[in-house]
Amino acid sequence: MTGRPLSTFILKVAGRCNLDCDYCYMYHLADQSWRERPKFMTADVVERVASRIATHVRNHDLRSVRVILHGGEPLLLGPDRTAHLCEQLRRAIPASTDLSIGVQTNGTLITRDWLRVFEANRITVSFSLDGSEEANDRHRLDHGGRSSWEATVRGIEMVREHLPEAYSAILAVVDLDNDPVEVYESIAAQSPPVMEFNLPHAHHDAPPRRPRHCIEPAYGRWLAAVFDAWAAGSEYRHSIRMFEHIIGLEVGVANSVESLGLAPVDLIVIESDGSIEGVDALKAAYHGAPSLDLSVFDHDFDAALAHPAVAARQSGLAELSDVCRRCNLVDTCGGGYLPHRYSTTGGFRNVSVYCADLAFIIRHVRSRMVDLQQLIAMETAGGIESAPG
Amino acid sequence: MTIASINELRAADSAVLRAALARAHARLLAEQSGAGNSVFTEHSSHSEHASGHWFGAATEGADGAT
Repeated sequence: MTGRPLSTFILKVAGRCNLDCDYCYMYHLADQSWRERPKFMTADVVERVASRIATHVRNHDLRSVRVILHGGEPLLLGPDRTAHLCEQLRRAIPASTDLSIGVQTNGTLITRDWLRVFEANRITVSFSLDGSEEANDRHRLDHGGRSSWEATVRGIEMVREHLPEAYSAILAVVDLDNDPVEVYESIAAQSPPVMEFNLPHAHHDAPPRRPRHCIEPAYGRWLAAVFDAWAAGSEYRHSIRMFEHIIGLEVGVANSVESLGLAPVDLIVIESDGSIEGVDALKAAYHGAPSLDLSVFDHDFDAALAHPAVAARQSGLAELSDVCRRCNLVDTCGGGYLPHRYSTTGGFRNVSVYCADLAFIIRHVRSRMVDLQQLIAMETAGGIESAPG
Repeated sequence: MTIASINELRAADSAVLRAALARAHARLLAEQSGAGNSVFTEHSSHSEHASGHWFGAATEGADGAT
């Protein structure tokens, strides 16, 4: 018996990065498996991955699948090998299935050649950028300690100006030392269709940095400030994924982001050596945490679906802590992102180390939406016009 | 409704939030019709775009390993 079919395949096409961001779960947190893995996904792994995805598509009659080229820095693979990889995927996967391919990149290596590859292979491009140069350079430096900001922004501008249909998103990692509104505005200045704000990877054994002696939801307040800046805009110019998914969950949309809500998680990670892993950000928890002991050379993706660690991520409420299951926010929060729940003693059956922050931002968004829905209902009924004042 | 509460509601009015709410309802309808998106991931924000994008309502998530 297997669960919901997989529809998102994260391909670790490059096991190295030209940047050295100090918060990166690939290189700077508990798991160090990158040291033992190939620098790049080899042709035989790509061929087997394409075949396995195609089999999964056929077995489950999938109408659409997504492949995300990830790393490390995926553009280190180079334009030619990336183009070939995309061709292999499109050749293997049935034409009746909609295959979307995206890349998550620091953008510093983008050239005209890359634009041609993006265009020819219809690859959407999502960038990692933490805000202004000052904000970004708190963490996102190269191996020589130099700023990556200018090169990233140049990459963003190239895609935005020459291939706007490929411009997908900007992802930022929250840092309390950065002003939230300034971060929001500096990212908005790049005009991304979508913004995402991720909490820095942390768990109960390695908690996030907070103001000293402060147990208040500092990350929640930071996010709420971004929400207010976004909501104060005179027109809708970009999505902020976390907020829109909270709104969606509040109105009853069953699907969710991986880090919110209770919907089954239907993604899988394929490492550069062909290993199949569940959640690569689990590298933040302990060495070997993402491992499923599966490989595309020996196992199909149904074997991954049947793996207890993957099945657990499809079990929704059942896998959460008692505290989460009793919480009235759980349908929206979903217990938060799996790696953030970890502790040595409790495994993953804990509340998120960001529990108070998630509660704060969910309640903040909820309060604004309740007001708004009430207003819309009144307008629809003509109540506003007839009211005095 | 009192004047104060109406004013509070007007203050809560936001073109951005109205649009976000409309998008959420559209997603709800899409889900109910069986055309919903699958789970958004932490790995890349190739998310809902304006019409004209290559992949329409294709959605993904994001993470910072790059």
